[in-house]
Amino acid sequence: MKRIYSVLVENRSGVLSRIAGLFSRRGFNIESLAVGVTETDDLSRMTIVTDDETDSPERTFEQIRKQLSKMIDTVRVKALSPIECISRELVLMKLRGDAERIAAVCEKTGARVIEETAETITIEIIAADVNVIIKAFEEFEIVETVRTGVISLQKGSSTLM
Amino acid sequence: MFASTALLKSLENEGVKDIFGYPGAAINPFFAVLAGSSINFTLVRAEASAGFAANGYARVSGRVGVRGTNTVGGRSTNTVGVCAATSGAGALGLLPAIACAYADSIPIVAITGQVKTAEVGSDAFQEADIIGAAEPFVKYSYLVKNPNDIPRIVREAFYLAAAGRQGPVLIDIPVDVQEAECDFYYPESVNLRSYNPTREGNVFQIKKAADAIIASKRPLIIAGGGVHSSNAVSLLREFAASMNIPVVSTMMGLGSISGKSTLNLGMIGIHGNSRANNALFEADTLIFIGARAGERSIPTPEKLSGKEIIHVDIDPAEIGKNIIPTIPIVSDCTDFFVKLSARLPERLFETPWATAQEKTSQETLYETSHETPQETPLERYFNVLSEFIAPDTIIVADVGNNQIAASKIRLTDGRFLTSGGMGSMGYALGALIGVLTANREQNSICITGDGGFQMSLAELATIKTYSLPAKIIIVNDSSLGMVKDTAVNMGITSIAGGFATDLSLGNPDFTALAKSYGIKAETVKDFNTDSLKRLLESKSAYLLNVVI
Repeated sequence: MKRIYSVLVENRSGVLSRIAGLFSRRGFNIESLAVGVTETDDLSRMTIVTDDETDSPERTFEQIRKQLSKMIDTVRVKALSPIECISRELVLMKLRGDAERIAAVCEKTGARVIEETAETITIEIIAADVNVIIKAFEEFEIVETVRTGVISLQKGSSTLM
Repeated sequence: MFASTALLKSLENEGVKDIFGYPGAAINPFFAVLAGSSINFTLVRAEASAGFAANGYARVSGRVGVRGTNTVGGRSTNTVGVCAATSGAGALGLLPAIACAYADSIPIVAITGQVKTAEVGSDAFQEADIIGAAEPFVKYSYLVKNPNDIPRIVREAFYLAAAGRQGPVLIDIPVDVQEAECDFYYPESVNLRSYNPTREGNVFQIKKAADAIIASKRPLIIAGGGVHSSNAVSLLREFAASMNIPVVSTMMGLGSISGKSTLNLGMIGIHGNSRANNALFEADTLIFIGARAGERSIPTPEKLSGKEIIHVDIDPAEIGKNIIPTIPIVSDCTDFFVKLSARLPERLFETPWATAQEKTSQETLYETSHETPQETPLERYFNVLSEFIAPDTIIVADVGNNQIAASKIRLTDGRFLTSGGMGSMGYALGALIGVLTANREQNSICITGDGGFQMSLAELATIKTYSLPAKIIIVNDSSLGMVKDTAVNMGITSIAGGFATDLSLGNPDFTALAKSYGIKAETVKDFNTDSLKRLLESKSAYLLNVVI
């Protein structure tokens, strides 16, 4: 079961390592972590996705929320299930294969060709769940992949602050 | 103004009277200004002892005669202990003490020197990333880059150490920053939008707790270290006595109820007594107060299911971590007692359902490993000590079998200071230095083992230098007794075969050693209790080497 944490933190040095350290030393699993500044200069926003396959993930999820809240640099934490969020992840992939065929798969999946050279084609995928789309390109030779990690906002007019 | 002067003035503004530490090149500018200041400096012989001393110092704050005890709004606030060390190895030497303070939620501020700003990251001489190294064990930490930030950082550090759940805060200052010029303006208040700990329990939850206690037949209070941190000892005692509700403590909570009270059922946990552990099993309503219910206190939390469990803690993250309460309350212990009492009748039970004297059940949650059917000679010796000590005596216990034996000493208005969470050997002697620095007149005894004593014995020199009237009892079994016991319990019967060493320590003559420092000492081989009288009556430092 997945849980998405939206975390507003003070935009200071050391905060990312504090948060990452918290997850590793308490044995919490990070599936992805994305961080960037917000509309307010002194605040950064993290989107952290965790996955817990055990029978009782709620207790772990609650501990993660409480431990995140406890950090002095944390201004706000919200834990949401994926269906409560609008989520996006960006993937860049460098492929080798037939250009026409790659373009066709892009057309079908909503991916986009960014750069074409004689040897490789680089595409971008932007989606809530990029894994399905990545799979569609496995028929080609995948030379390189890079992912941003998921970023999320709560659906509707609710905000974090 | 020099930044190191700004640092000193900031500490003076926080009411700091004492600092424990060890100097070195990267913190020299600060030590230079400290020398001529109003702040008393204690030079220990190893950095960890400075941290343990700050710990002992902080824990006795609020007591009569204690230096540096602040009062805010008529209520004494907890003094923050301060320790200081140089960069690199010096700072790393503080780590065991920082981790110890974190595990036991003790408010200390550690100040460390750092290599020059321009050299940070270059693996310079005595450079260590102490901020990174200490990260898992600090409540918060600061690397000072701008000297103008020093007053704000000191203000925040002292606030964070003592507010909410208390703990250690680290301030790391590069040596060039200490020498820089800066402006000094001491901030009146702390402005941390991201840190607003809840002190006052939710009214609705407290009403639920009151209703549950009224409906209960066998309520039991489990008092933890938070009762001390919150200065709620007298409130707890009044509450238990007027309601006739029995009390058990965790090791950190010892002393929260008098050892003479019939309501005091003793200490729970694997090193506790069966009376207290049975009570956990027999009670229908458990009121955990400032106790995190760690696995040494509650090794089998699943066996408590079905009971009403009220869990009061200032740290929301402790609630639901080790035990699942039916009524969670995020609150300061003091606030909880005040609000709860207001919702209960003046007296709830005419007689308590359990008292220290009677045994009501043979059922127990788990075996306690340290109860023997017959009193051991050491237990008898400490029983006599219980009779001899002044009511306010503070027992500072180290780690191991000596600690478990010392935990049975009956305290009345005293404290039991130990490294409860981290189990840091060598804690006791350093912490005693802190206790006596806070108040030289404080009745106090350090109880340590031959193992822990050897980790800290260099501090005999500190005790001698500052003429501290330190009373030390070494429970000397010439080995690492508890390590041996746990090995046996784990089925490693052949110690010599299972371990690289036979765990006997090849001790020196501790009496001769103490005397070489100019400290009075005697070796006791027959548990002769007259030795205890000589220890307690001594006006100067005294060491008893009790061979068991």
